[in-house]
This record gives sequence, C-alpha cells and structure tokens, in this order.
Amino acid sequence: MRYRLLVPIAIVLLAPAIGAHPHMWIDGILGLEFGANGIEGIRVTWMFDQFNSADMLHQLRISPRGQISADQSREIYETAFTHLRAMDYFILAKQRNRPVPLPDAVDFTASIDRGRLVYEFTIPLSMPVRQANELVLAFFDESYFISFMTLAASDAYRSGGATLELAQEPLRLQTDGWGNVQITALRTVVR
Amino acid sequence: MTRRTTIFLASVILLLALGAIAYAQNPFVRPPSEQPSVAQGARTGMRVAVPRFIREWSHALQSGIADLTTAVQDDRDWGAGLTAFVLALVFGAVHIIGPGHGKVFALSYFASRDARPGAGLVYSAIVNIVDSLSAIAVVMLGYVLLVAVAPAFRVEAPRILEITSYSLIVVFGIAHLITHLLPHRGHNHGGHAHDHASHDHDHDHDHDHAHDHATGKPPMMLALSVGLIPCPVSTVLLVYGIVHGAVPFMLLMVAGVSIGGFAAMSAISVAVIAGRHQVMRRLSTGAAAAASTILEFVASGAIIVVGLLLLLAAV
Repeated sequence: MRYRLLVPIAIVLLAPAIGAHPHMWIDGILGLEFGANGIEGIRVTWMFDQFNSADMLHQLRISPRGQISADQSREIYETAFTHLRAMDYFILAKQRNRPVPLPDAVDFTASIDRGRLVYEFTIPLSMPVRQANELVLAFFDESYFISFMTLAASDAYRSGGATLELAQEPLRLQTDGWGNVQITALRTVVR
Repeated sequence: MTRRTTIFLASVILLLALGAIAYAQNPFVRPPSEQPSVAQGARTGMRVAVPRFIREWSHALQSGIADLTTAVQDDRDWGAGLTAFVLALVFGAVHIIGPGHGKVFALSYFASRDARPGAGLVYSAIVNIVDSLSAIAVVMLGYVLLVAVAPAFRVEAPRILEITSYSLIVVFGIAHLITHLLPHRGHNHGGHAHDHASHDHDHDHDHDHAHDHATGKPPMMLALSVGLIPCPVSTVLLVYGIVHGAVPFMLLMVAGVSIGGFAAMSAISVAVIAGRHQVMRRLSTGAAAAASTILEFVASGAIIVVGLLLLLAAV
C-alpha cells in the first residue's frame, strides 16, 4: 500500500522541520515614553517564567519570596544584564526595513512579582511623533534559547495632537540554526 | 589512589561539569562571545520554518504548569497537580520534537541501518531516562554544590562536558563508519559474500533480501552520549523544586516531561525505522544493497560532521 509508505516518510521529512527549542519564556511588555519632542524612550518590562526565575534568583542567592534590594539590583545589572547590549537587549527595532539604532539602556531595575523575576529598563529614543509611523518593535532572541511574547503596555498614545497606535503584526524571523519562527511584533500607526 | 576513589572523583568532576553546562546555556549569565554559534548552525543545517503552534504551545504549557504548581503548593490542590502532570506530558512531547536532544543523530543512525522498532523505543527511553537522571544528579549534587562553593567554575566547566560528549559522538560516528567498511559479524551489507553460519542474529524478521538484517540492539553509546547533557528545562524545574520546597512534585513534573519526550522521540525513531524498511522492501535486492550502503555512509558522515562541528565550537 503506497500510503503506508508515505506516512513514515512524511513524518521523517517533517521531523527536522518541526523545530522549536526555547528553554526560557519571557513576557516582554513594550511601552512608549513621550516628552516635548515626541517619543523619548521605549520602556521595557520583562517577566521571566517562574521556573527560570527560581533558577536565576537561586544563582543570585535571592529568595523568590523576598524582595530585591537596590544593591542586588545593581549586581544583577552588572552580572546578568549589561552584556545583553551586544544583542540589542533582544529588541528588534526597524522602520521601513531599516534598523533603528538602540543606545545603552538606562533606569534598570530588577524586582520579583509573585515569584517571577522582573527586569525593567528604558531604551532612550528621540523621534518626533509624526516621524514614528511604521516603526516595528519586537523582542527576539536569535539563539532561540528564549521565547519572547511581545505585548504592548498600551494600544494607543496621544501626543502633540497626534495619535500613535500600536498594532500587532506577524513577523517571521530566522534563528541561529533552529529554523525560522513566526513571532508577533508591534507596528506603529500615526494618525 | 584506589579505583573507587578515582571513580568517585571522576563522578564529582562530571557532575560539576554537568551543572555548569546547564547554567552556562542561559544568555543572561553567559556573555554572547562565548555562545557557540557554529554549533547552533550545525544543529539543523537548514532554514526550515518552525510551526507557530510549537512556540505558542510551549509558552502556554510552561505557564500553565507554573500556575498549577503554585495551586498545588498554596492550596494543596491535587487535582491541579494531576492536570499539571498531563500538561508536563504534552510539554515534553512538544519540546522534544524541536531540534536538539539528539534527534539528528537518531535520524542518521536509524536511516542508515535496518533496525527493529524496539531499538528506536529503547534508544528513546535511554536518552530520556539518562537526560532526567543527569538533570537530577546535576541539580541535587553538582548544581547546588556549585552555587555554594564554586560559582566561577560554572562558566568554564561546560566546555569540559561539551567536549567529552561531542568527542564521544564523533568516536561513535567513526566506529559506525568502520563497521560498514570492514566485514564483521552480525551486520548487514550488500555486495559482498560472508558466511551466515557464523552469525548469531535472528532471521525470523520480515524482509525480502538476504543482506539487510534488522537489529534489535539500540545504539547504547550514542543514546548515553546524547542523554548525558541535561535539558535545561529539567534542571530549572528541579531548581524550582529546591527553592520552593517542592522537590517531589517537581520530580513528578520532570518525569512527565521525560515520558512526553520519550513518546515524541519514539514516534520519530520508529517512523524512520518503518520508513527505511518500507523503502528497502520496494527496492530490488541490488538497489536495496546500494541504497543501504549509501545511507550508511551518508549517515555515518553526518554524525561525524555534526559531532565535529559541535566539538569545534566547544573547543
């Protein structure tokens, strides 16, 4: 029976294609900060999954039921955050297919929310609202160790007489050796 | 130094290294320059599309397991515990069908020789059992010990285990190739004559050509090498158990993930075995022999090349 031959072959051919290998899950929340000159920063909140939170806090000798002091937050910043600069803090920022340069993060804090490790930081940005159309933002780890879920802190902002909306958009990106994955990005629409 | 002491010290070093590798894969604690990008490229070697449901399900499943675990801890809700176990089974299956976990080696191996489905099942069982035991050993002994006494060592030590594991895989690939180059006992070859009277293998299986003997023996060394490196998911589950005082429950979750992984890996291995068997049955004796020989060389070559790439990235 030919179909009997096709089934195992199809499974074999599909097996390597069913590629997924994240070992860490982070809910990433993007918020925009506005000032007199328009967008002045991207406020980022990362909520690590509970299991990796326990693991990372254990490395730092911090109880997941406790609080992170200012000194501990500084230690986390130095030992488990600053080197992410080389990976643009896992932030994909493009406008009309051109990458938007991201400076060093500021205002970093680490905290614990119901057992989950939380990073918060700001990426300074200077962009008039009228020029902020078609800005695509997402979190993405090319090594695919982390699976990010990109969420918007707010769907719309009003600034300088304009309305900036954040719409969800599917985006397919190539990982470093694990195949390409579809993620959900946020695209700005200025009205 | 007595043999027992040597074994003990070797075990301690191995556990420290195992703990280190689990720790060092986390990009938050390992600088990007030390990330083995060459190895990552070698893991799939193709630009395939990852089905969206894999990413979304794994995200949702781990979140569900975490919430249910909290319910078990806070409210002693054992119904939630049972549901968490079911989710762990599904999570294990979804997680294992992604790249990694030695599937490229299993695919290569079982595509290269006529094995029985049982060999695929045993291979999958060994990989997942060894992986879980490795994770338990790492977390209970190596990982906790490392955090307490030698945190800096964890950054360097992963290379030891990576080099050991990938070297074993390369050695396995070369040995696998040699077995196909040299006439020997109990093995299948087309195109050359040998005395079947000296063979001790079973001939009661269903095939229609004389030189493709299904073997029920799983590739033990390959399975052990692949399973040796603990999955970070298992290690973080266990660390969570230690931190939150829920080790027995998290052991149950690791078992669930492992059983789900076993089911998925078995399905893939048995599909490869069945696929190869079906193809060979439809080929003439000569074509089957030629195809078998080509598959053996290609598969052995693939194991060696991928193992070498991973090894080079680790060195």
